[in-house]
Amino acid sequence: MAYNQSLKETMEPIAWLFQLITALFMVFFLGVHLVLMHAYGLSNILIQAILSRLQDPWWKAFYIAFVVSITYHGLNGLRGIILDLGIKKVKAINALFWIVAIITIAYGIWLLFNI
Amino acid sequence: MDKVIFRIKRGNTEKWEYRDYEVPIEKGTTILDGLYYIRDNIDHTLSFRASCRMEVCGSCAMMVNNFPRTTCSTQIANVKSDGTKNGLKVIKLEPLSGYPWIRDLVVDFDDFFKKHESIKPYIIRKETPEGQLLQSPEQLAKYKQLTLCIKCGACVAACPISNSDPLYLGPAALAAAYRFNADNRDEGKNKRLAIVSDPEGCWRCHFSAECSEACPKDVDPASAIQKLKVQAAVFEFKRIFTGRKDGEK
Amino acid sequence: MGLKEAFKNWLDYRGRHIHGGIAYLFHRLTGLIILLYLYVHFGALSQLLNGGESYKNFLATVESPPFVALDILLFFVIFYHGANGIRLVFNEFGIGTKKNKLFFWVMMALGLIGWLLLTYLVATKFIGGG
Repeated sequence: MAYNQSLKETMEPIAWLFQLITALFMVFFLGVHLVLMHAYGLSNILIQAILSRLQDPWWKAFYIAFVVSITYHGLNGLRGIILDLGIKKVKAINALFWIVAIITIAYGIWLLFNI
Repeated sequence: MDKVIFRIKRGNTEKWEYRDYEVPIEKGTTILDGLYYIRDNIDHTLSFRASCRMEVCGSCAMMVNNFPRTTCSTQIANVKSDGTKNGLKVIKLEPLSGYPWIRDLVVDFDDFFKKHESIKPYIIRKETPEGQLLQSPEQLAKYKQLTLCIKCGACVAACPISNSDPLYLGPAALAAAYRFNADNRDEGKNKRLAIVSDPEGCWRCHFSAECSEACPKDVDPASAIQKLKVQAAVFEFKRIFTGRKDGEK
Repeated sequence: MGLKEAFKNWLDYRGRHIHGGIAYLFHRLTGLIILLYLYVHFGALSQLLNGGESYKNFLATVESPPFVALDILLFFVIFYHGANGIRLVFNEFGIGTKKNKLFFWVMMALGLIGWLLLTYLVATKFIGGG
């Protein structure tokens, strides 16, 4: 039986806590992002506007935190769905999660610094 | 004489079909009454479980119009129609969802009881107590609702995770774990948390809360499991920082 | 249980309550949609790297009514996920679990108001010109 197996699997409670923490972060990040990008017509998505925003270190920090939060939250959610479907290879799924998460976050942050 | 139609899933996994039975009813007739009527008067090969007829033994749970109910305590008048036939209300009866199907309305409860047993559903003391273990009414009130569980299995049948992941401990076992953790006479909280904090334990619960909707005794396992998660998270973080293998002091 | 049966049961909404299993199912589905959109979004942002002409075409697409309509649909998905998610954050810490139905509908009302507000802000900007 896979339940009551080795209890080294302490990733779960940490993953759970961060899923909730990133959820709350995202209410803030997405709130700001959606209004900024969509409620001012095109003025905030013109190239000049984007480039000047990305010069500001606070905005950079905002976007980095945003990318990390949303990637973690989304991929951990997907990991949860896969585990909910009864797929037993927990270690393999966790490893896959880390690989995809790190690649996605790395690409997102690279984009931030190279636009 | 009023009548309804019971549409019952008969057979087993190899060969099955829905069969309709006309059941006479009057005020207060329960689904279990109807099942006994069918078995006694129409088709004595109908298989179903029942015993106490008063919602205390947990034998008679099954899917009534796609939702798990204990049939002895479900009045036919309170069940909505699942279609009509010849102007009569149709009630669909199927075996509990998510359990291995044996025959007709009977399912295998072995796994259910194994999971319940695995969380150590008994008071654990470090040493044999001398004299009584005292408990005030306030201390009892903290977990009393959870003691009302009759092990009917409706919660597990309603849970979306139990229905897609057979290894999930399930709401009944997890609520039982919390029942003992919340009992002031128990000293085995960490032992239980070590078992319950597992990828197939409390972390598979996402609060869809169907278990609490299904429970005939209002045990509210959903709330208990969320409280269990907080206990388990605190336990695990302590374990990470102190490095103790089983969290015991 | 095979994966196909597990998936079928996961999607089976019959007998579930709106504030219970249906809310759970939509939370999962909206989450998957948003995750997919994240990668689409990164792809679109990569367009910025090319700069110049291709970005001007991109801006033109973004202004077009079908695109704005899709955007508003996306906001609906996001607001559902966020509103239900806020409820779940409280619930998973043990708060408000006894009043699930009420909590769910209150959050849905708040989410709907938020979505309508954003849609209004977007619509006025585009009707009035960017």
